[in-house]
Amino acid sequence: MAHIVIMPKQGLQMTEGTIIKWYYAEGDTVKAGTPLFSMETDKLTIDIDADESGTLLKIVRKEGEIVPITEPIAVIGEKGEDISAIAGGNAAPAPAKAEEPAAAEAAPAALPEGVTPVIMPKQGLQMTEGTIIKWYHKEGETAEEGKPLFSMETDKLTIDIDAPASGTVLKILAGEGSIVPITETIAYIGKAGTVIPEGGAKAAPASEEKAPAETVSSPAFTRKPGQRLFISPRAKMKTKDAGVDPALIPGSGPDGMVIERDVLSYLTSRPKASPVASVIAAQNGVDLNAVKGTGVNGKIMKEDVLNALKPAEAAPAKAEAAPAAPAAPAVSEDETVIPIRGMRKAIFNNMMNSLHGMAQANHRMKVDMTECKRLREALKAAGQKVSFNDILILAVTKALLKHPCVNASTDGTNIYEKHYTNIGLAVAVENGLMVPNIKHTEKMTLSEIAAATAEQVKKTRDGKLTMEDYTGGTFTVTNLGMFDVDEFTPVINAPEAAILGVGKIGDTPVALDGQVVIRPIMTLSLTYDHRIINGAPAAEFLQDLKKLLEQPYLML
Amino acid sequence: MAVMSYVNAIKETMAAEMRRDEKIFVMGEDVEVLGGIFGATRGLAQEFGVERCFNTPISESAFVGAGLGAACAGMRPIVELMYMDFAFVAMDQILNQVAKTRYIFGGKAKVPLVIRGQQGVGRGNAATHSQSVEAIFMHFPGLKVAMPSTPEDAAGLLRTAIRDDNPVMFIEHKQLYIKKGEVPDDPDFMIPFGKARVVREGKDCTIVATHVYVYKALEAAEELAKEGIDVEIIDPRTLVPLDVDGICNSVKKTGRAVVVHEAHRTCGIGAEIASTIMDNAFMYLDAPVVRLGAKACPLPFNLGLENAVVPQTKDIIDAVKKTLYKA
Repeated sequence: MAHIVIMPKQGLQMTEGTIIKWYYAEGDTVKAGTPLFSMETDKLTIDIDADESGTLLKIVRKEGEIVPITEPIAVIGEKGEDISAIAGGNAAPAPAKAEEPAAAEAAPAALPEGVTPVIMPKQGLQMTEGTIIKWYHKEGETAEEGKPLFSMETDKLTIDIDAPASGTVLKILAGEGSIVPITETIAYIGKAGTVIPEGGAKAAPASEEKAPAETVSSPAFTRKPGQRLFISPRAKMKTKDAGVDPALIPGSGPDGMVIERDVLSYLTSRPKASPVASVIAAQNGVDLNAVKGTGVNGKIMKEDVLNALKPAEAAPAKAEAAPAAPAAPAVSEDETVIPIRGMRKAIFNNMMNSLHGMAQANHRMKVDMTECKRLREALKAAGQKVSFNDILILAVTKALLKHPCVNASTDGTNIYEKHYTNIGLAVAVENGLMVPNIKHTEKMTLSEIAAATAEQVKKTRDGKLTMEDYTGGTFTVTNLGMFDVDEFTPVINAPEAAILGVGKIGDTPVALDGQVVIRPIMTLSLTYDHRIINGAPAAEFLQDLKKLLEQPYLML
Repeated sequence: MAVMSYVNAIKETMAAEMRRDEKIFVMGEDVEVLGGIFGATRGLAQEFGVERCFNTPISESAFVGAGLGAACAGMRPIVELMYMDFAFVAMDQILNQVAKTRYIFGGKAKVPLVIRGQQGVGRGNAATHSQSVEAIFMHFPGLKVAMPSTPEDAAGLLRTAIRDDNPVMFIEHKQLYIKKGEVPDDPDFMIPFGKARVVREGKDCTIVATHVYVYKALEAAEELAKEGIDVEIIDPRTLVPLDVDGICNSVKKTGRAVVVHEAHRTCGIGAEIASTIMDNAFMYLDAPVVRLGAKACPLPFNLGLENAVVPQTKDIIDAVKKTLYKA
């Protein structure tokens, strides 16, 4: 049995991957658990192991190709196996996607005009299938819209379902006693005498094509605009604890009031979603039931929620964008075309979102680094190697603990001040930038910070960062001093609320006690989200930071 | 542990305390030879003499006042009211004098007085001999109010009441006198006031019940259990002081509450308890608190009609289901 290899989703934000290298050629024997190919995402380069042992029958996507996640890239099977069925001329329709084209094919086998299909309705969040108990009308009889057409049973209840349209029951596809998955067509209603084509039964999948769309919208419970949400205090407390939007929960109490059991049932039936996805969904009032998950086992990922947020236009736009890529505008010979993808795309989006999403303001302050230099040399003499950056992180940590308003994030409703410090470190990598962070620097000594920093930088350069490394930061330090940059305006690494840009330490004439003296001066540049941090506290933070750097023994 | 009836638990506790402290004496209507209308003082006159267990005229105002005076003078009287309804005759003494003397005299006069008696329906005693009066005494500050539902609670709470230097309204229930149960032999067995008893543990709904309604709540619990509804029953045991934490912690756990008592629902203790729950556990509630109490109707002589006026087990079942939106 042939097995289709798909582009795996490595990490929350991955939407596509570039195939770097196939370790085998078509016809080679591959072994499950050993590297099959190497791929690159916007975050990392990684070897992917074969899931199955067998012969690599076909490589669908070549090295260098960019493939959206879950798309088939190869086929593994028995030597000589006929895979034309799955990987024929055009291997694109992978099992996962098979429905779509199939449905699209079936759709044109359209029903005669005026025929309404009757589908197995979804009654209740957890319903996946229903049993037809009784048809109130036989084929040929007349059904009336809004009047009971059939009775069905779920694991929860027995209920009469009304006819969706008036007309003659033309065909009953699912007889009494049959168990039918939700949204599947079970009957047709139309004008007497209308013939349902033989494909009629086949047209069932046609409505299945609709099915995903319907499962997407019908369980997506929403209150009518203006309809007041009644919720018991206890239920409200539970939604708060679980971080779900109560407006998305159907209520079973009086007047549709949401009560505890509604919340509990919602929580248990709620599709699996990544924590980030859940939070974004809750913030934006997206019902996770309405979101199709693209993660492992259909888990809902952040992108899925974001996609759900931009309805309608998103899908076609994407469809258009895809062919647009190869058909790039004519380029003259003295220009280089660099597709925006991978890490560049991530930076592209992150920077734009950061500047568009926040009110970024900037303060600068000059710091006399004389004492820091002295400290560093003293430590060096004592055999302890620390960089200015390490000292800076320690000072930043101390200052942040004193000014948690700078060490914060916001979801638009609340400001979350953190009393721990995960300091992000902007690290330049080839053609890009990564911001790993050092967790809980507030618990570290200077030498521990130095060691942790060195490790994160090494991991970054080696492409060994895991998601854990570059998420959860509370504040970022970016240093361009080594490039002789005097001062600059950094862009905040969202969802953090501030970033410190550090310039070079340069010998500078300064006035001190009426004398011009030469001092090693460094400029700190703090960009902060003015929505949640005011100018004065931001300045105070910088002032304290300056004080700590000018008198580093205060950090003891 | 000895198994005894509720009424004997009261009698034995009084006798034991009288043996311990000769300042304790009992007075009331027919307490001497008859031993009180329900036999709660039977044998006390024989053991302690008529100086320490004696009859009073049918004049509650006079003998409650006499009890207050004796208490101020250093005695520790137990005054029996034949029916709690008769407290109304002595309301000035109870509410204006007994409840306030210690306060008015700046604490210089102690009032170690127990006023005890029975109340409630169940015997067809009609409108003026069947009422439940606890809410009145809970309302006016200065009185402690105990309402035992078991022989053990009766013994433990009564001893606490007798040894208290403040006036206690000790309210018994006529239907409970024959209830039997174990009572610890410890001569110093006391149950602190203000500590509710968890009669039954459960997770779906809290029933706060007093007196006979503890038993009706248990019946309801059994029925509800058949439907998979698991109720918790709390008996506050004393209304003043009230175990607010005990009640509210239970409600925080279950998210629902039914308060049931035999007294009239209007301004009954259920109103106070429901409001206390709202004050302390509102965010934990999944449904409005349901109050059950007697209808606003004088209690009938006819037993059938009596049952129609006071809450029944079925009412408790329905109320619990209502809080679970299953009614």
